[in-house]
Amino acid sequence: MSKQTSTTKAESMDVERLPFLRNGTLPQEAAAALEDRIERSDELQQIDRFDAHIAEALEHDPVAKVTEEDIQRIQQRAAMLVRPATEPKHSQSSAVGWLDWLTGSFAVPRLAVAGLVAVVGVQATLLFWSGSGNSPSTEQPVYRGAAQPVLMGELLRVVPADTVSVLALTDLLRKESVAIVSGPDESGAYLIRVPETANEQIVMQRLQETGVMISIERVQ
Amino acid sequence: MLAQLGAGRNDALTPLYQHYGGRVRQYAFSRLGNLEDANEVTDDTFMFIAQAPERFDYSGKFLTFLIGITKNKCLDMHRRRERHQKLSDAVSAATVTVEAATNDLLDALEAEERSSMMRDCIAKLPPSQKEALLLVINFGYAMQEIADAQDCPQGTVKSRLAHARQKVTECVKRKLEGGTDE
Repeated sequence: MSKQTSTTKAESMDVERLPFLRNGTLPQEAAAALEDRIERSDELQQIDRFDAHIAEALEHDPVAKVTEEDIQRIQQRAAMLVRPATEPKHSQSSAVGWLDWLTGSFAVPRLAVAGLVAVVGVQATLLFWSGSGNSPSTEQPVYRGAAQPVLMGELLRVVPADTVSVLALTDLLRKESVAIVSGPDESGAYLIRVPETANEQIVMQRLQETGVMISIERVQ
Repeated sequence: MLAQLGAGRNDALTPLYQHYGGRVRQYAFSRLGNLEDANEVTDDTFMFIAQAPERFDYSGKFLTFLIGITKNKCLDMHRRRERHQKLSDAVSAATVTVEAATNDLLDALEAEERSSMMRDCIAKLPPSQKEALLLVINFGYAMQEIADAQDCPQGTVKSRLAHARQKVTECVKRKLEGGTDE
């Protein structure tokens, strides 16, 4: 009897599960058991080795590479898009975090708008300071966040990424001479106070640049 | 970015495209087998997102949501071009044996040459098998997620993956032996 036809049902199941072990979706217990059997089976090792070659080929597939030409094409189409502004649906689930963090957006609609307004406000102010005089395109209806006058000693509401420890956050804020007033609340937000001696716009910009803040907004 | 799109910031589409565009096109290409069609479907997918970002309800993975749209766009394209692909999948799982010598020969090749050879063989797979392979290996889908995406039982997913691996193995062996892979 050949080696191929002698494969037992259990071995066949192992072969079927190999790709799921590789992509990390196999339950932990099953994964550990399978890894153990791979160690003892030359046949499984060879199949797993071959799967690695398949994975390598798919990972470096030129089709999956986004080129400058692709970006230009989609930007041209997006520029022609006319659509009434709407806000996306949001659940209360914390599952939104990874996507919004990845794409630099925000988990809660109100925060999203407020955060955007804050960022645009900083940008608009910087443009003003630099004397460029360029106003944002009128084709971008979202640019409704005109720069607010700089108010000293205001409270800010910040939401750090959930990967940032309280200690790290405290250190970060201390460097900006900013004190935590309260927090975190249920949404992970902190109230912080910018000292009167500091320029709030610059503090907000610096905090934004740290890359660890999901949102920064003024408290009305 | 979705919030920004929802607020009319069309430029927010660019970083989304940069991050996910490649995988979406790779998936579309696996279903359509034509780069031009895959490009069109990819762009249409992102334009759909730009027009209706609120469709994503944050209850699942964004990539899964994207792939669902891409799949529908691929089906639309099939319909438009009146292509009817008959997908055949044996119910029983294929058995496969990969010889160490095959892996050794593959390892001896330059990475680029090896990947190119593997991709040539993957490209020859039936669309459903290619799709299953891509979803499991590149997109990290679990078994049930693939079954949902392909509207089939888990057993069929296993079968498709096993057949895919078997066919790629045979194709690669023929190539390594210097024969034709047709």
